[in-house]
Order: sequence, then C-alpha cells, then structure tokens
Amino acid sequence: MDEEFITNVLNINARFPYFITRAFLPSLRRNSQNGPVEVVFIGSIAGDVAAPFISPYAGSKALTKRVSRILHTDERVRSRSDLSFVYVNVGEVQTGSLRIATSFTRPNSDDYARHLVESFGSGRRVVIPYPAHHITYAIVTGMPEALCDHIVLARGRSLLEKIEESEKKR
Amino acid sequence: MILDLKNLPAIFPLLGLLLALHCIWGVLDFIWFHYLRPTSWTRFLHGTKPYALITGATDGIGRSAAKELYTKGFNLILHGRNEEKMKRAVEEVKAADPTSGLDVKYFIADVGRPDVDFKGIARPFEGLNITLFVNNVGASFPTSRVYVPLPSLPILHVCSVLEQDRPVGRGVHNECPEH
Repeated sequence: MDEEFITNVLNINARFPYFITRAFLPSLRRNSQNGPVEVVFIGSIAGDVAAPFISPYAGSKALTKRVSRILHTDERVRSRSDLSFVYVNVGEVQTGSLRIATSFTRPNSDDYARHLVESFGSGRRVVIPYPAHHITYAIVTGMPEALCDHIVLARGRSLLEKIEESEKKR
Repeated sequence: MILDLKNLPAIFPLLGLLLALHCIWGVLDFIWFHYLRPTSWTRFLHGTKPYALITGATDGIGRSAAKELYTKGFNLILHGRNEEKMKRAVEEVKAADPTSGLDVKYFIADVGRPDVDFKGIARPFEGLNITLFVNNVGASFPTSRVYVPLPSLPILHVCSVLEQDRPVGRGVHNECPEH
C-alpha cells in the first residue's frame, strides 16, 4: 500500500459519503419539514474489528460511524428534526467484491437488501439488519480484545484463501 | 480465605441479577428488532413523489437495494461510476416492477478522485422530494488508477496487478500477501 492507494480508498469510503451527504443536506432538511427523511450510511463490521489488509477501508468505516451519529445530534441542537442518520453494520455479503459462496452468515445481496430496507426508519442510530451478522457481531465484540483479534485474523486468512480458490476456478 | 463463600456480601447476588438482566435484555431486543417490530420503511413514502438516492447502485448491495426500494414504491436516483453498467442496472431495476411507472434517474461520478464537484452533483436534484439517502458506495481497494476493471478482481489479484504496473522499489506493496 502506498500513499496513493490509501488516499484513494479514504476518498471512496470516508470523503465521498461525508461530502455528498453535506451537499444534499439543504434539500434533505427542507424535505424533512413534510415528513421523515433518513440518511443511511452502509458501514462494515470491519470498522469495529481488526480485519487484515484493509486499514484504510476499516478506518473510513469507523470515521463514518462516528460522523453519522454526530450528524444526527447536530440536527437536534436547536430544534426538533425529522432528519435522521443511521449507520448500518454489514457483515459478509456475497457481492461483486466478495465472490464466494453464500452461507448462514453470508447472504447474497438480494437477500441482504430485503433485511436492509426493513431496517430503515427503525429509530436506532446503529443497526445490524441481518440476524446472523448481529449474532456474529455480539459474540466477536463481546470478547477480550486479544481473543477477538485472534479470531478475526483466522477468519481473514480463511476468507483470503476462499477468494483465491474461487478466482482459480473462474 | 478472603471470601467467606457461605456469607457473600449482598452486592454479589445483585451484580449477578444485573448481568442476567443485561443478557436477557439483549436477547429480547434481538427478537424484537428482527422479528416483531412493526414495518418502519413506509414512513419515508410521503409527499407526491418520494425519491430514494442510492450511491454505488450498479452492483452488489446497492443494486439489490435499488430493486427492493423500487418494488416498494420509491422513485430512484442512482449513482455509479460506469455509464454502461448504470444503463444495465436501470433496466434491471425497472424490470423488477415493469408496470409501476416510477421514475429512475442517475448520475455518474468517480468516487475515488480528490476533485469531485459535490455541489454540482446535488444541484439538478435540488427540487426533488428525496426521503431516503443511502450512502452505499465503498471499496476496500482503489478504483481509479489501475488499468483493469477492478470490481471483478479480489484484493490479492489487485495487489499483483499493482506490483506489475509499478517499478520495483517504489511500487512494492509490502502488505500484499505472498501468493
């Protein structure tokens, strides 16, 4: 990873969502005068655990998680607001960037999107829409940090192997 | 012996009770949130023409979420990086509910660039009743400087591409695993 690599990944995952939300804020505020409006940030469990090789991505998600929470608070400093912000904690999902088989904890994107849309408007600030991701998250983040890092590292290794395997088959 | 097990201070059973309540609360909240809670996304279907904006909507979760919201009655504003892929995604979304007659707009922006004109992107959509704004776009590797279509490659492959593209010494990616 060189500086250009890191900057690019930070631009994609931290800067773009932050700034594009900012650009749309005036119209979102106006629309929220007539009914509820929600800004959703698609995050990742990677923002909470130490998954290998993705520090710029994971760091961006951790930033977004905090930004989302504070933007929600900002809207309520001076008056009531119907503009809400929510951070979605996503686990593994089979997509174009993770082309490996589905499993109990790894739905395909259509299945995931159904749960995602159901989570909109829940009134929570951080949600984990997919039940199996929720269970994984609770177990992993409830552990002592050394054990958590150990398990996430082992998981990261096996994921990389699976990705390599599926690439060889293609 | 420091602790007399037969005569524990009253604080211990109390702590145990609190811990048990905490765990039970977690389980009940899980069941409530995922299986019992009333539908909440309908709150955002208000006004004459409600729009949902979704970034990174040409693939994966973004495209699936676009289809899901379209079938649920939202007009859409989609974002992608590649116009060809976007046109295919729009067709796929519309095919999910061909008779709805809902509007699907889109815009193209390269999210990895440092000079994105954010205000310029927002301007054409200012008058629309956007009630859901889904920041979905994301990638754990760069998207704009390598010479192959990146979304089709996993990170290991990308690392090897980057190594080949750069002179050894300046472009060595120490973090890339051996393969």
